[in-house]
Amino acid sequence: MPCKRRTPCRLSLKRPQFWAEDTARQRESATTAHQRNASAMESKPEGPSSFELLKSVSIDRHLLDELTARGTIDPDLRLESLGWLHPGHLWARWTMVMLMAFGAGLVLAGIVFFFAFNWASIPDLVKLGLIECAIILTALGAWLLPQEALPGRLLLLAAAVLTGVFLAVFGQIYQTGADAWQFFALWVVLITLWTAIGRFLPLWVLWLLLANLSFYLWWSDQPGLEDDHTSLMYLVHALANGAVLLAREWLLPDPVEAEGEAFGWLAPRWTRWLLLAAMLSFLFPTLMIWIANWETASASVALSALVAAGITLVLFLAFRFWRPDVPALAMELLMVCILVIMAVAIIMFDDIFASLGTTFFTAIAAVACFGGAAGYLRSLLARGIDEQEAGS
Amino acid sequence: MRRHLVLLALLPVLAVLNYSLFERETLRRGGELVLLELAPVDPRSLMQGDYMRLRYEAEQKAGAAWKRLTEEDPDLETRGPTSRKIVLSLDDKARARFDRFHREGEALTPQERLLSFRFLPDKGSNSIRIEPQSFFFQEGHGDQFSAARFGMMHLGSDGDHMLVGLANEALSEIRP
Repeated sequence: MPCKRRTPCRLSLKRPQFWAEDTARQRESATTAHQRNASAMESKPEGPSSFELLKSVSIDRHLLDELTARGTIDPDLRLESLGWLHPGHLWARWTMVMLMAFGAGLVLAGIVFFFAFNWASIPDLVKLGLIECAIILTALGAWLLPQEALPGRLLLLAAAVLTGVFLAVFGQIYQTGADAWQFFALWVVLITLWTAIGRFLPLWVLWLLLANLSFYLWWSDQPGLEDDHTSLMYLVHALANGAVLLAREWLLPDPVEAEGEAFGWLAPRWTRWLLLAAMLSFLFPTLMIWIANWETASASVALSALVAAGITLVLFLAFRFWRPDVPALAMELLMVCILVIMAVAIIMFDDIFASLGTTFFTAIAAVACFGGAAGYLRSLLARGIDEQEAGS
Repeated sequence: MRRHLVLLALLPVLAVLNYSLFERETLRRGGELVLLELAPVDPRSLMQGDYMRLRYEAEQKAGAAWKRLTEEDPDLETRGPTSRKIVLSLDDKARARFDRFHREGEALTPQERLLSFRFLPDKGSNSIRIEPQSFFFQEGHGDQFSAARFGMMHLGSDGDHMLVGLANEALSEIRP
């Protein structure tokens, strides 16, 4: 395998299988390159004198450029080594994956918009039958193809999306007039099992979005929901996302060794950031409603805001000490800064200054807040608290 | 094993989808057609295309009647109506008008039918809502459907209903 940046790289690696089709000419030049390499080391007494020493040397593109500039290695060897560091077949694979993902996304979007047009001239049962056949075929495809390969997973995602298309078309044809939350909730329920066994992040993101959307639409559509309860419901919604975040952290005690584990597919750190962003976007209104009405707010609003502030603090401590994560802290500090600035502006405008003074001092507060937050994050970065997780 | 779960998960999905399909088709084929007068208004949904918002004459009459009832007896608002159905009286052309709220066990004359509704207190001025509140049609067919005066409703036995189309002043279905 190629070496990652800044990871120890053995120069004496065996030539991997995927280069087997290389031409004889290249193989020959590689041999001469190695000879040159060996002779270069002999001619430089201060360089590493054995392969054992070389094993501890990290190598990347910049080091190669530097060595070439100094004349330690010649340009041919640099090119040869770059081929080891960034093999061409990886680019081909990356391109293939991107094209497949974009292709699948565009085809699915095309299907969604085709049926959204609500063609009157296609018989109703033909429309539903077509979509149902597509669901069956994509699910069969996902079953037949290897589990861990991308095509099979994309087919499972397609089956999940098509289930939603079926429900949408069903609503069009039978004029069910169902509330939007019922539509999304049924969709979520139907694809839950696929999401659980699929181990595929795009499918998980779809599930998470739909679950949040149906929950949000459900509670905001409840009759008799007064402003007091809105604050509480935002808090409950934040906690629901928090439970998922907590589950993710518990299931992945060590993200670095998560490869191959049952929940290893949740290892990328952006899954944490996504859940945290969802939490923060519901904690924000809870706090904001209270800040905007702090003089007149009811006990329920104030209490919800207090709990939300507590959760924010817990999140901060969690990502500072339990799972050190600078980007997560940055997201939180952004929210806190905005809230502080809003609070400063509201209090000053209500009680102290007219609009001009408020604008001036709010601007100063903004500079101080963001400056302080940025300085703190930079000091954390400099101390390298993030290091143990940087690899994942 | 996990691999076979993909197929196993397909079964409940298909069961739910096909059962709802069967249920709706039964109502569409078996139900009786009545016409509900409309007061229309129209926006667009992302996944389902163009649609028209519907307000039924019977819904507004029922809402007004409910308001009168609650003014006489304020407790009624919290308890809600005893049955979530209204009684419609039909004329010789199957046009339906709101007659009264249905009481459990009450007998109907041959000219009367039941229609279910949703009771939504504290939700705007009218607590009575007859579903559906929207009618979906092909994009661009909005002009033709703006002539709609009646909602064509298929009634099931117990107030179940399904909107199957819109009719114009002359009581004929609009087919763009």
